[in-house]
Amino acid sequence: MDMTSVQRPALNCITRLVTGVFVGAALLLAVPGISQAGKITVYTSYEEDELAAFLEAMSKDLPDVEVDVLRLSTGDLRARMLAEADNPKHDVIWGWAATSMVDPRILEMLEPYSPADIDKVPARFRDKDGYWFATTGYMGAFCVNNEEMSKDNLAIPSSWQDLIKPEYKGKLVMPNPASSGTGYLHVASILQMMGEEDGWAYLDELDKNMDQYIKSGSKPCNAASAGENAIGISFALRAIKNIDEGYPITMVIPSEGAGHELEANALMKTSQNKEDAKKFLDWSVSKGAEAEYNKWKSIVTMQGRDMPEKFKNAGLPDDISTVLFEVDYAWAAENRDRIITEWQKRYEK
Amino acid sequence: MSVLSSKARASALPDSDRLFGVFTVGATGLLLVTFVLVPLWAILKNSFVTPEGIGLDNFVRYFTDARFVTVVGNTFEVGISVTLTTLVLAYGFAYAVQRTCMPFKGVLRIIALLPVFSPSLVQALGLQFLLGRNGFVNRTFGTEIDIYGFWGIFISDTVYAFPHAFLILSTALAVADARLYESAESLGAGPWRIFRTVTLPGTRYGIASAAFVVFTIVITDFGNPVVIGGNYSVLAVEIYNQVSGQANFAMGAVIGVLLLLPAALAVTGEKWIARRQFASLTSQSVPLVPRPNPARDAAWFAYSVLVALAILSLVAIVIYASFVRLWPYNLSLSLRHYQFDVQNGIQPLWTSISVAILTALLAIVFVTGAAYANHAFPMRANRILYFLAILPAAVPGMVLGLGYILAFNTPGQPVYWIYDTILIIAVCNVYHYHAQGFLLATTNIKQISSTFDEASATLGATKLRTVWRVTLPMIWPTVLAVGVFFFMRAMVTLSAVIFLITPSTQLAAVSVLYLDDRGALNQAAAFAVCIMATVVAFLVLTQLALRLAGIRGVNLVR
Amino acid sequence: MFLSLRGVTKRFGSVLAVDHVDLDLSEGEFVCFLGPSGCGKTTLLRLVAGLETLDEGEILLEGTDLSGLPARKRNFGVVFQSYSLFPNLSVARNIAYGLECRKWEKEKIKARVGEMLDLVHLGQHAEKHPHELSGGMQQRVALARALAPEPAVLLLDEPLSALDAKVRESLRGEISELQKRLGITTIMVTHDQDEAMEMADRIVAMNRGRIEQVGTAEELYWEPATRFVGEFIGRINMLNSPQLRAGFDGSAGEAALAIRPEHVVLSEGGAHSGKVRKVAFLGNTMRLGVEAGGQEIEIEVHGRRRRMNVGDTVTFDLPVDRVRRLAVSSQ
Repeated sequence: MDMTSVQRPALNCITRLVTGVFVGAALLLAVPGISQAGKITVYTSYEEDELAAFLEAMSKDLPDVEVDVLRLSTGDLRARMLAEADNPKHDVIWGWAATSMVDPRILEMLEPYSPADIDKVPARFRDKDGYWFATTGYMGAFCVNNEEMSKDNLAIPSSWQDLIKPEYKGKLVMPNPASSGTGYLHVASILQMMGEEDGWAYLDELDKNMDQYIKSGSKPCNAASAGENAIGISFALRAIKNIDEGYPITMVIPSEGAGHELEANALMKTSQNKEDAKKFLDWSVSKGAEAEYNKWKSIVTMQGRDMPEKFKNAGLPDDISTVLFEVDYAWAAENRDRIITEWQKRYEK
Repeated sequence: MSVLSSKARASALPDSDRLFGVFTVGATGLLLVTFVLVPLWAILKNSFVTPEGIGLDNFVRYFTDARFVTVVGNTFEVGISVTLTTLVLAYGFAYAVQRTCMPFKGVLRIIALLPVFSPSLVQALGLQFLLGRNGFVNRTFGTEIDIYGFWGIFISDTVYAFPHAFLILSTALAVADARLYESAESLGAGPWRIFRTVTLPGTRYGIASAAFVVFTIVITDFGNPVVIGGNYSVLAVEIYNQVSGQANFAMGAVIGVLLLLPAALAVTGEKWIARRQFASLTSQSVPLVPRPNPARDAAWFAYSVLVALAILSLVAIVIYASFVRLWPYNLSLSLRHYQFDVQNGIQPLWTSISVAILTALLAIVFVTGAAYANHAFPMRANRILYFLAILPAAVPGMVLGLGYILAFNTPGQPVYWIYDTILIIAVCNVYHYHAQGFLLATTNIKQISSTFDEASATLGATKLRTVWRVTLPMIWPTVLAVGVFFFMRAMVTLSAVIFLITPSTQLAAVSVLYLDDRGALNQAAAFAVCIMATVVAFLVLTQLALRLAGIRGVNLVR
Repeated sequence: MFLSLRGVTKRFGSVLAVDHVDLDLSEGEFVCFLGPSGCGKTTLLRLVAGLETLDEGEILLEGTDLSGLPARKRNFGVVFQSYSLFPNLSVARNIAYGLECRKWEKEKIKARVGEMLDLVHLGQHAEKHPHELSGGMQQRVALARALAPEPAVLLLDEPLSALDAKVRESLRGEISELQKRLGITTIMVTHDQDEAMEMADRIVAMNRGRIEQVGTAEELYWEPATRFVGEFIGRINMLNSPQLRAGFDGSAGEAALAIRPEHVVLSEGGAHSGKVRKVAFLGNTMRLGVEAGGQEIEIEVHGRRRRMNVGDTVTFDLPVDRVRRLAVSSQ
């Protein structure tokens, strides 16, 4: 350290820095943070790319409503909303997991609202008291890496039952239900599909083939895409996007039926600008929104959709209701703690 | 006699030094309580909330869970092994930088810090690209290395913790009294003996601080274990599972409380170490200037290059991946990933830079201020102050971020006015990384002999004058290094700030997270490269500005 | 009295560093605190300077109690063993530091700095930084810096021990001369008896936190009050063997009997005899180590003598008026 030759300029530097702090702080205070009329804040878990497309369409349809969007993953967003419960910052929740929406602590913050066109959304995709409605959703699917399969001369699995075949030992990866909504979706739908007893027996078998339980829902498909694992239990949209990116994978919708999750919308009781918030929610079931959903989502709850080409290429049937297993969301939410505790006891080391 | 009159005044008014001391310690304490303790309590109090009311049921339930022993065991296994490895590697690297005449020190320094200014997500990505099942090594050499699990966490956390340890150890090794070395040498002590009897004891405080920092940040880090940890469970991931996965704040808080225990232990340890620390820079000491020694320098250079290459390879592969079409299947070069199709494009990068500069400035004032207050005013309150100052190292970012919401998102709250601005993000960064900056500054301050203060006092100077005229001019390179450290952290940190960003204050690191979330790994890599380039550019510009101001021989990175 | 210490006591934890010290200094006096390391002399100086706080007792300057007055308000000049020049300030700015603290006018500061620089013969080094100066020069700057604000008392904490022998020698003279010229009351801490004896008007011999004896160099040498003082200042033989002690009082069991080597008289047919074990020729002086009565005794002989060899037998006397009775320690 050379302490001698640097003193005077150094002091000037420090003086300037200190001054800078206060000037900076003063400038910052000028930054407005609170929402104003004509402006709403929306919390969502839609992924960045689809979000950008939806917002573009929205700004054309609703030019006089300014929408600020904050995107976080389902779990992080829930943690943030629960923490902010005393003074929520947002007006609308948009495209957020229905299984999380039914958390009583979240429901408490909502105000029932049904857009004029709500009838386009079948009743089974809406809360019976009108607290939320789902316009889109995603379904479970396997991502299977073609290269890894051919390397070991393995057949591409087509069903849940296939996955427990001994030749897939160590090839599988799925999200950990304790940390991932997608993971829980899979476990819950298996338990509902097979009944609890057979379901757990099946999961025991599945565990024998499992390489690891990854912490997030989209990671298994990414791992399969990158060839880190051969088969990733994930969801369809991720598979479709990765195929589109160019990864050598095949999307498999299990023949027993795919579990699925709905992405729901709701109005906050505490919204300071309900008028615009409602306009936004009205838009979320409009024709314009639907057109965009159709381009991006594997499940669109509104009737009569046109499937985009890349979805068909990835292997999604025209009528997805043929492959969907109808999940009981209420049951899944109510039994969450019990099922995860049991799951951790069995499979977490 | 002038003594008499001043004596009379002294008894009538409180002494200005005492006022200054009380003010500094008080202000530091108030800030730490406000921005560390209050938010922590806001979330950790949930650990006592049970369906049956207030109680310890949550703790009992967690401690009696069979998995508890395994998870705690894993956490300690990772914590201890990474701490030991990192200390040895970083000490060697810092030694080579500070005590030898090897070439390219400047470049090597920056490389050592790369992991601090690349988003941790990218590091894990790099590790996967490099050592994953389908990674570069396995594909190239046909090996079947499987890093998921302990080894994945071990490697990625070692890389992650390396710069933190390097910064503190480098500061500790930067100052030395040449006379000690000369006398040891003249007594016939060999290099190893000198190292053991002079170098090591002289840097004891730095080593202890580095050990504490590494251990706590490793056991509280969840970014790496989440990506690369496989089925190997550690406590920090448990928090993530509870809070983000299951929205169970109560159990998350229980684990959060557990993670605070090592910090409490460290406070006791510090007292013990500090008693044995001596000021190695006394006013008559002769600064140690390493002399060229070709054989030794070459050996240390080889070592440093090896370490640097290891770090660099993780980053380089990410940079490479950002330029190829589709890693690892289509390796033809392309710039397409640099067209970011995220919501706000490249805009968050500018926000990040503002936040980072603000963070650095606040840290320079408040973190070095805290280190000074704690050192210069021996008061009873200082043990508490020290504890609060290093406590944040033991707090997972997620816990701190949620704590900030719970504590400050209430209109009428005294600091509510900074909520929703980038100021609260900067403040959160300052206190999230408070321990590292505080220990960095303290390590340096402790090495400066107290006789300067005493000489100044006997000449009639107030403490304030002493700080301004004597202390600051001696430690300002470290003060600057603290600012640089916070700047780099602020550019990439995620875990706490994702709870504080607003639609108008989006950050670059969050964009990387978005891109990674949606599987656009190459684009995530490209965005991360932009962040790293920004930081490097910032470092270069600052260094240039110093040069232009006529200041030479000062390293932004100690 | 100008400066008075009354029952001054300082503890560090359970260690009693300074134990009820009483001492009076008159104005213009040069006093040395002398003792081995750890005897409390530096702590005592720091208590006077206000760098440590008293546990008990009081320190009075012209009758006014200084306790509670912080160091910076005492107006005492302090010179540290480790120079403690501010490395970031030039020599002139170092000297001006105390004056700036006292808000002197610019012109007055400039004049005073020049004056001080001349006083320590460093006029041409005013704009240099401390690291560009030798150790001796740095210590002279430190002295000038301490003296510049016209302190009431000058406190020197081992000011010479970090310097090499030659420089030390010349600075001793310089400090003494300055002190006499300015007539400033001075306390110097040292562990070097030569330094203390050469420079001080009075020496305060300290051991284990207490004052063993206060007096001039002569008093301490010729009439040491305690065994510690006798042994610490100069060389001395403790008479342990009953044969050597014979003839000095019947009560000889308790008091320590001692004699300086130069007071032992070699003589043909002396009362005691012994065998020469060591011979050291030091020019004008020859130092013998003689084994007598079961102990070794050191004898110094001056002037030219016949050569002694190891193994020779010698006889010697212990003159009664030269054997001193020493207290084990001061009470």
